[in-house]
Amino acid sequence: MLKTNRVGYWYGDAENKLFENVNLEFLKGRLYSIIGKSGSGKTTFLSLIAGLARPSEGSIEFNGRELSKIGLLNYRKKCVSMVFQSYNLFSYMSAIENILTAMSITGSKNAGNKKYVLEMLDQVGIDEASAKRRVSRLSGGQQQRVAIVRTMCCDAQLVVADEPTGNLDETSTKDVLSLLQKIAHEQQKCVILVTHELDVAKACDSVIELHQKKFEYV
Amino acid sequence: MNFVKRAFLNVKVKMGRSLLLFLVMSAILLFVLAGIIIQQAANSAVSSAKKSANATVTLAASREQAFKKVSRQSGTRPKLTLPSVSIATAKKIASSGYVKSYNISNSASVNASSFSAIETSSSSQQGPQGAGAQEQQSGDITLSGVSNTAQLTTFSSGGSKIVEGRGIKASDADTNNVTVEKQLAKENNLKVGSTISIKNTSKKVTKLKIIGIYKASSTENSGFGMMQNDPSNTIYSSVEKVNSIKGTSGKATSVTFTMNNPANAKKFIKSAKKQLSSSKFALTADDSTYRSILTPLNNVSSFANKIVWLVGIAGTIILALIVILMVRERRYEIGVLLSLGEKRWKVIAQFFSELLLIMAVSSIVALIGGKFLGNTVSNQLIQQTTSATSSLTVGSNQNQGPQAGGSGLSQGQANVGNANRKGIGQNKQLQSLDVNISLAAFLKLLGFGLFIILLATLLGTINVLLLEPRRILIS
Repeated sequence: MLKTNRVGYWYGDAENKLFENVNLEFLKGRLYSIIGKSGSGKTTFLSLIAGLARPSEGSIEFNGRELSKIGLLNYRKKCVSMVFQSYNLFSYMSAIENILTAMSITGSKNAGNKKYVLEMLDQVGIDEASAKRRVSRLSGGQQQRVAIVRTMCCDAQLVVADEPTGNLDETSTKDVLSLLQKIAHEQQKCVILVTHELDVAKACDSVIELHQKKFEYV
Repeated sequence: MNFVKRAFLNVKVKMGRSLLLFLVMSAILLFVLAGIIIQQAANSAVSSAKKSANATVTLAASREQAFKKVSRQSGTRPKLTLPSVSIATAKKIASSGYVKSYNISNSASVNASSFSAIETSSSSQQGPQGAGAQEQQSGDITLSGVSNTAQLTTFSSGGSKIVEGRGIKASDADTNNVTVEKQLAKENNLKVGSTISIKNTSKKVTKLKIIGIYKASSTENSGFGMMQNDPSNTIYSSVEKVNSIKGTSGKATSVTFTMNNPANAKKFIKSAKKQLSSSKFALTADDSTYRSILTPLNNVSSFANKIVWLVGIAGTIILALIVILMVRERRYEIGVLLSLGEKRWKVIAQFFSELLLIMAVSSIVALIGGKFLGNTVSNQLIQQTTSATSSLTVGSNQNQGPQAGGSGLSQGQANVGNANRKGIGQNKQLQSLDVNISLAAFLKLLGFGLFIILLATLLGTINVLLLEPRRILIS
C-alpha cells in the first residue's frame, strides 16, 4: 500500500541527515510501530508518510502512485488519517461534531450520517450523552477514543498515529491499542504508529526501529 | 459551507473572545458610520448650497478703465464718464447655460413732484460724496429700474419685502407702474393705485402709478445724495421707464446674472468676456454666500473623511492584532484542519466568517448609535467651523473700511451690495447638518467593514498559513 524509495530528510544542511535511504513497504491490514530514541526522527518520518511535509530526497508511493503526483492536499484528504498524542480535537465542538466535521472535509461516504457516528462512538464506549458534550469536558482516554473514531469514520486507507497512548493511563492505553488493531485487522487498513513504549510496540504486527539514521525491522 | 458552521460554533462557544471582538468591532463601525453619514450630509449640504445659495455675476461699467480715460486738465476737476451696458448684449450673455435668471438694473436721480421725499440727516454721509457727479445726481428720489424686484438680492434675501400690492415684473416694461417704500407711502398718504409725479433733471414731469408697497431692509442704503441715502426714497420701476425718463434707450447701469450653480461663476465670466468686445465693462462675481456656507461644509467633510480613514486604519490594525493572537492560540486547530486536507482558503474563510458574524451584530449597534454620534459630532464641528468663519468674516469686513471712498453712483452701488451681502450671510449661515443614515451609507459601512475584516484576517493568518502543516503542528 505504502512504499518509501530511498527517502532521506534533513533540516538545512544536507551533511546532517536525520535519516537516509529509507526503503520500507507497509501493507494493508497490518499494524506497524516505529520505535527509536527521542529526537531520532520518528515523528518527522511519520509526517512524511502522512503528507504533512515533503522528503528531502527520494519518493513515497501510495498504491503505486507517487505522493507528489497525487498532491499532498488530496493525499491528506482522501488517503491518510492522523491520530495525535494530544488528540487534536476541536475543543469548541462536541465529539459528534468533531467527527462529522472531519468526515465532511474528507468527503467520507458516510458524511453527515449522525446515526453512524453515534454507533461508532458507542462501540468504543462513548454514549450519546458524552458524544454530545464538548470534547474539552471528556477525559483524555475518551478524547483519544474520539480521535480514533474520527479516523475510523473517514474513508482513508492509511492511519498514522503519533504517540497515541503517550498521555493515557494503562487501561486507556489498552483500549486505544485494541481499537487500532481493530482498524488494521477488521477494517483492513494500514496503521502505522510511532511510540516509545515497548509494550505498545510489541502489540503491533511489525516493529521498525530507527537507529543511527537507518530503519530496521526488529 | 463547513467552514461557516465551524465559524458559527466557535463564535457561540468562545463567548469571551466573541464579546471582546464585538466591542472592538462596534466601536470601529460606530465611528466609521458616523464619519460616513457626516460626510454624506456635508456633501448633500454642499449640493443643496449650490442650488440655494445664489451666486451672482454683475456686469457693469469698469471704474478702473473709466478712470484711465479721465481727461485731466489743470485747474479743473477730473470728470468720470461711466458707459452704459447694452441690454441686447446682456440678453445675449444671459442665454448662457450657466445662467438661471438675470436682472437688468438702471437708475435715475429724480425729484419728487406731487409728494415729499423722506429727509435724513447723517453727519457720516457728508464726506465721500463726489462733487463731480453732483449735477447728475441732485434729485431727492432714486428711481431704480429693474426687470423683476423679486430677483433683487435685497428682496430674495428677505431684507426687503412687498407688504401690499406686488413688485415690478417683466410685464411692467413700458408701463408707468412703480413700487414705493412703506415709509414714503405713509408720510405722503399714498396707497396702491395712487398716482405720483416726479421731475427729471430737465424738469420734465412724469406720472407714475403705484402698484405695490415694499418695506425696505433696515440696513439698506441707496446712497446717491443726502436724502437719497434714506432707503425709503427708492422707487422701483421698469428699466424701460427709467430709460425714457433719462432720455436713453436699450441701456442699463448694470445687469446681474444669477448662476445655476455657484461653482460655475468663474466659467461664466470667462465665456461672457468673450462676448464683450469692450474692456470698458467689468464682470464681478459675488459668491460670498455660497463660499461662506461652503467653507464650514468642506471642513466638516474633510474632518469626516479623516475620521473614516483614521478609524479604518486603526481598526484594521487592532483587529489584525486580535486575529494574530487568535491564530497563535488556534494554530494547532489550523494544523489539524490542514492535516485533514482542508484547503487553506477555507481556513482563512473560517476566520473571516467568524469576524463577519460578529460584524453583523456590531452593524446593528452602529446603526442604533451612529445617527446619535453623527449628530453630536457634526453639530460640534459646525459650531466650531462657523464660529471660526464668522471671526474671519468680521475681521475682513472691518478691514474694508478705508476702501469705501470714491464718489457718486458707483459708491452708492457698492454700499447696496455690501448691505445685501451681509443680509444673506446672516440669513443663510449654516446651523446644523441633516445627518441621517441612508441605505447608501449603510452599504458603504458594510463595504468598509468587510474590507477591514478581510484585511485583518489576511494579515493575521498569512504567517501561519504559509507554513507547512507539519511545522504548524510541531510548533
